[in-house]
Amino acid sequence: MRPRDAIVAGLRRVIRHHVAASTALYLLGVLAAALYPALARRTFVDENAFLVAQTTVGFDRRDARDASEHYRAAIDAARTSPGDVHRSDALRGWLEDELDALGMERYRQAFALDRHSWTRGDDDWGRRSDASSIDNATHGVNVHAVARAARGNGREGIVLATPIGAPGATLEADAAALALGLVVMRTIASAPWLAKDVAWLVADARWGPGDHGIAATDAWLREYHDPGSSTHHSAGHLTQHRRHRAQLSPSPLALFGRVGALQQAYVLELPEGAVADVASINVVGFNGALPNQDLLNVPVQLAKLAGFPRAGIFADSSRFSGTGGGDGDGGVKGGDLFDAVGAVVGGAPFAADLRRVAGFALALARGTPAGSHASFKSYAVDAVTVRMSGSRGVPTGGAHRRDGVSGEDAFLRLGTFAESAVRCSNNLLETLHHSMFYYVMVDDDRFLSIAEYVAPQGLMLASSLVTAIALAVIGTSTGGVASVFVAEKTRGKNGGKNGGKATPAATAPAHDWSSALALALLAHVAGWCVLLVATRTASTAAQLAAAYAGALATAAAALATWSNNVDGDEGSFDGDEGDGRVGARREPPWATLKVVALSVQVASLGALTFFNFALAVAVTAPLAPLQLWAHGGVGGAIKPWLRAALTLVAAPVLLVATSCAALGTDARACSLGDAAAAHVAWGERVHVLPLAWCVAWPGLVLAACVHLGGVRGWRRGASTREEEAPGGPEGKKRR
Amino acid sequence: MLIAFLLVVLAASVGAARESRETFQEEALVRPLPDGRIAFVAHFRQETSLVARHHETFPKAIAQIARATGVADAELSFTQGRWMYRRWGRPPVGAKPIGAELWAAFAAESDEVADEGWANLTAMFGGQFCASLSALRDEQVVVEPALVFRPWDGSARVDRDGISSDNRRRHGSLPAEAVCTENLTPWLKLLPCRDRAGIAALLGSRSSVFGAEYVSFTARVRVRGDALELTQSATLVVDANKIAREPEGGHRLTSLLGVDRGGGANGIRACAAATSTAVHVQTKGGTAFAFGGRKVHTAVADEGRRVDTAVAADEASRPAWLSWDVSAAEDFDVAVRPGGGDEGTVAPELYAERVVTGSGYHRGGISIELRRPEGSKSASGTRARLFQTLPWYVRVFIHTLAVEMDGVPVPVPTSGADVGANGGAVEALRWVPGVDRRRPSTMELQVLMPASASVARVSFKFEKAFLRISEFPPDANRGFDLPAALLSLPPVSPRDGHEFGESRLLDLVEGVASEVGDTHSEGVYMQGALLTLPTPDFSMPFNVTTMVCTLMSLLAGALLTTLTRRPGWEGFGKLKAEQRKRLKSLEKEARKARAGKSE
Repeated sequence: MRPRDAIVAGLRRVIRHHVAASTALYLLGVLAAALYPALARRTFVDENAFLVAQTTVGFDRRDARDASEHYRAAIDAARTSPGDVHRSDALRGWLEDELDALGMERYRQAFALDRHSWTRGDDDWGRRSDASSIDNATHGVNVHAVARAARGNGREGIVLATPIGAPGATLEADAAALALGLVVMRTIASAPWLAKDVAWLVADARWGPGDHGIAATDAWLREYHDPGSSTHHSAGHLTQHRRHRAQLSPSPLALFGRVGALQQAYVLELPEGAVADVASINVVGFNGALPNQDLLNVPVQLAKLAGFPRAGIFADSSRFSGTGGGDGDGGVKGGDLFDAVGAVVGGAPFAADLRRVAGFALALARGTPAGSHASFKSYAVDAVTVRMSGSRGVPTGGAHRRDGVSGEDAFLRLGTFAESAVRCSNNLLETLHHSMFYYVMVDDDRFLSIAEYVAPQGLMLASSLVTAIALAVIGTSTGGVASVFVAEKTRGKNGGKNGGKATPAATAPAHDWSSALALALLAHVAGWCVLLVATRTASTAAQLAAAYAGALATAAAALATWSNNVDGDEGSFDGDEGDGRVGARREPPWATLKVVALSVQVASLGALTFFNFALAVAVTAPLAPLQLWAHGGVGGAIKPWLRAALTLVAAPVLLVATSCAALGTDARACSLGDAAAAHVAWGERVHVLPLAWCVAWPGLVLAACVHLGGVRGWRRGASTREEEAPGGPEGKKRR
Repeated sequence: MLIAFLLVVLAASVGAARESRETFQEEALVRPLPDGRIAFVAHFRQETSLVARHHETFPKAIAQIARATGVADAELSFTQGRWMYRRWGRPPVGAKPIGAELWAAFAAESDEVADEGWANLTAMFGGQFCASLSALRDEQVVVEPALVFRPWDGSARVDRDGISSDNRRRHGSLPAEAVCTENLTPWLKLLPCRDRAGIAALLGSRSSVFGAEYVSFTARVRVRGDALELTQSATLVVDANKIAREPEGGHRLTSLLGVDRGGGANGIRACAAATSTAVHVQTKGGTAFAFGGRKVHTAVADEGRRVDTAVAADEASRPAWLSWDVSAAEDFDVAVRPGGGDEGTVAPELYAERVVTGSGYHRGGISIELRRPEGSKSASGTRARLFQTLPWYVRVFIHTLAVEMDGVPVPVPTSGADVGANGGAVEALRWVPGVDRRRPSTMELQVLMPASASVARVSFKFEKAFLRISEFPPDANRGFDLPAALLSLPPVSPRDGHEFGESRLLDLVEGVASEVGDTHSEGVYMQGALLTLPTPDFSMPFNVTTMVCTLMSLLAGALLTTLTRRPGWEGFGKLKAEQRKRLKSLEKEARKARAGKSE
């Protein structure tokens, strides 16, 4: 047998046994995902121009001492500020005075608050509450300073950002961030090596979702890339009082200094103030967007060189491993499962790796960033957030803790790190393009590239694809495919004896694609309507009502369409058998619908793989078996309508319960209303809810409709259709 | 006979030298800046006869270039670093854009002749100054300005035929040109004393020159009748904070520029070929001390310290002058004591900033902001001309052109009839669209910014073109440097009492170009910009080629197999083998039969 014939025969065999093949592929995908840690590679810095550890650092102990003095001065300035001045405003005022004294360019940007920005506003700094002033605020205030490169051309710039005023931040934390930034900027501005301009953004983190100043950074970047845009108010959301105050806000014509095309950005967060033991790197942006991996590996190396005992993406053990009690950053709780897998495959280290992979993937899948670096990534600027904390690495958000190195020693480490990071980016001639943009971290120094991590997703999608092709090509009847092969063999053997005529048993399936496509479209439109309801009302009941109404409408449409076409033609043969041509066998409509549903799933989730791999896997893993299981057979232990109900009701409930167990959250607290509110609060930028309602839910609805394909046959009893063409695996087994 | 011949030749050469009327003037200007920096300007002017075949001091190469190219006026500049307008105020002799820029006017009868002259000029200047100026020959780079690079007349005339009747102008710039000593050395070689004596000796330290925060040197060639003029100007901004001060608290010029050799003879020795050598210090709150030389002008003099001391003071915002004639000096130096931030810089009438808006690889925009300095007032508004050229791969959507005054949109003319109509702010608009791989786009705009307006914004959108792989420069992932845009402002009104001709450098500083009202406009260059274009994976062509070749071979093999397959020949090999076998067996049987017969 020639190789081509062998390949074709193999493919035919796979299609003929598509049930077994799909099951095997899916299980292989799950197994490949479980073996992720074994596929990991060591990280490396691909861009040599960073010159990590090959340069001297100018930030010395004298600078650290200055930073310490600035830190105390900032605290004094905030504490002695008038009572009606918010502390972050007082700190900004102090900062502007200091920048003026240094002769450094500084700019103030007032950005308009949209309705989402008012979701925050609580002030838990503790000393006094001035929530009323915040409630009446119509704009946030960013301040940024610019250090110009003496001999630079001003066409490229680097950003250093320190958000202040976050609801969970202490006065000491903000003062330390400002003191550090001030001295680092002073050092950088006088550095002879500086070739690119550096902007230091002090973002107003009082507003918007999250505690990281993302709304403020968004506004700054919006103004940076579109002059005059960030001050435009959405007047429809303004009360009369706020509208009046909006007129008092700074003009959109205010001067705004720029540093050319932004190349990289480093966001420094000091939630515990001047403490420097753990440098926790955060790279996850909106919808799992990641910066170039060099920008993750370089800060890790720089932090270690600066003296941080622990540095890395998993350095803060509370973020991914789930040991920190679920601080909202995506800890994974499924310890038993990982331990069990680890015990089978590679022991405790393997289980720990697997837990970290799952934690990182979960953070990607959630799509909500935990750092204002995400805003930069939205503008195609590689950015990273580095959170410096104490040795325990658990920011309390309350009391100021000093567990490890603090004071001048901490400032020395922090300043060394910040200057080194800026200098590394300063050395670059090109934007980052060498290293990976798609990766999953297994540990601080190991990762999976897309070449490795895409395999499980590919296998799971392939399982759906095989079934879709099999149903489309050979239909639901195994006799059909057998007869095709028999016909071909016969034709080949007989050769010229009978003129290549096929036997009457040779059939090709005929599908009614139009009605199946219309049903799929209806299901997706219904899902989109649910999303609209979710974003408008943010109500759990409304979403559920809309979802099930859409599902019922789709199911009704399916049954109505199919009943209209009931003329006993299923399984019949089209074409003239008398002339010896291969006839066309009319496939049951649920089979066609299943082909369409599987195809849509493969296409949409395959495309999503390249945007948010983790989310795509998270949707594919439960959806693929549910869609593969769907069939319109009338037999089996479970009635068709019960199968449909299980698909639409039990499966989502089970999925949510499992997810909540993995996340360590109470399933009763998982509210669709909260999810919708969060979706709106994040500016409808996160893909989870749209994917759930516009892809996953329609997939389930279509699977349920496929199940309902058996309802008609069940009602009509053992119809002639069953005799002619038993449908589905159960039918086949029964025969 | 021989003696008589020699005498005739000698007389002829002397006569020719007299005919050439060569002059060489050199001047220097020192201006302390508010933030501790000090601006230094070296200005050289040489003049000769265009028709002279021999020159005493004038560089022969320049004369030959002028004659060969037919150029009427040309200026070449090399610049590294930025002039910080907001910090340093108006530059003494105009700042230039980073990289290399060349513009020229040709007294040509046709565009073809002008283009030929431009091609020759770029090639010759490129060779003369060791620069990549031949790249400016490319039609993708060169443009023809209509409103700028010419004496300011204040009119809104953009009729190309009208302006090109006297001369045809060409402009090109290389924003990514690396400026280095290889450009400065030939520039200095055009001077009679090179960098050995005179003002140019202060530029002797290359490390100091290129260690300056801003360094720009220009060469301008002008033909006026039969006179050929070469004007060279170098501007440096050095950080005086990093230089040790004199005991008096000032900075010696030689120390600032790194030519302090130590010992006794430290200062400037005048160039013997110079007809005049002068040094000027322009300061408001500071002090200047001179070592040697003859003071020729001070606003307020305070004699009595060392050799020559003066304290400048001026009630006006402008700094005052201190000038010394050092034509006969053997060892001249100046120590400048900055005024500690009270240098009274004069801001340009408008600041200009250009921003590339948007992000991503597909579309973007440009926003040009003209901002009136805080506190400045204009009784009748400010008329400004904007010149911007963009490479062809920046496809501008001109219909998106929008002009705002203090955030309020103003009408933009959409046709020639609309220009200047209804007293609109946009008085003139000239737009030459780009053509892919053939021509850059050019936009020239004249706006009248009302006295009440403080910010004018000109913006438009563009699309980024896909480039061929061969069109990407090295380090393509850095981005593409866009040429700087130019804001041309009305000439600076000279100081009261300024007399034209006393000093060409001071004339330039005061904005007077010639004695007949030939005022040059004040140019404010905006920063260059970096544009990120979608870059391919440059190793991908290899991968694609390999994969495509593999695929093609597979397809071709399968096709050939199908085409050459003959159903009738199926089993032909087996049949032949059987025949062969049968033949052999028959042969064997025949042999046996023969053997049996023979027996």
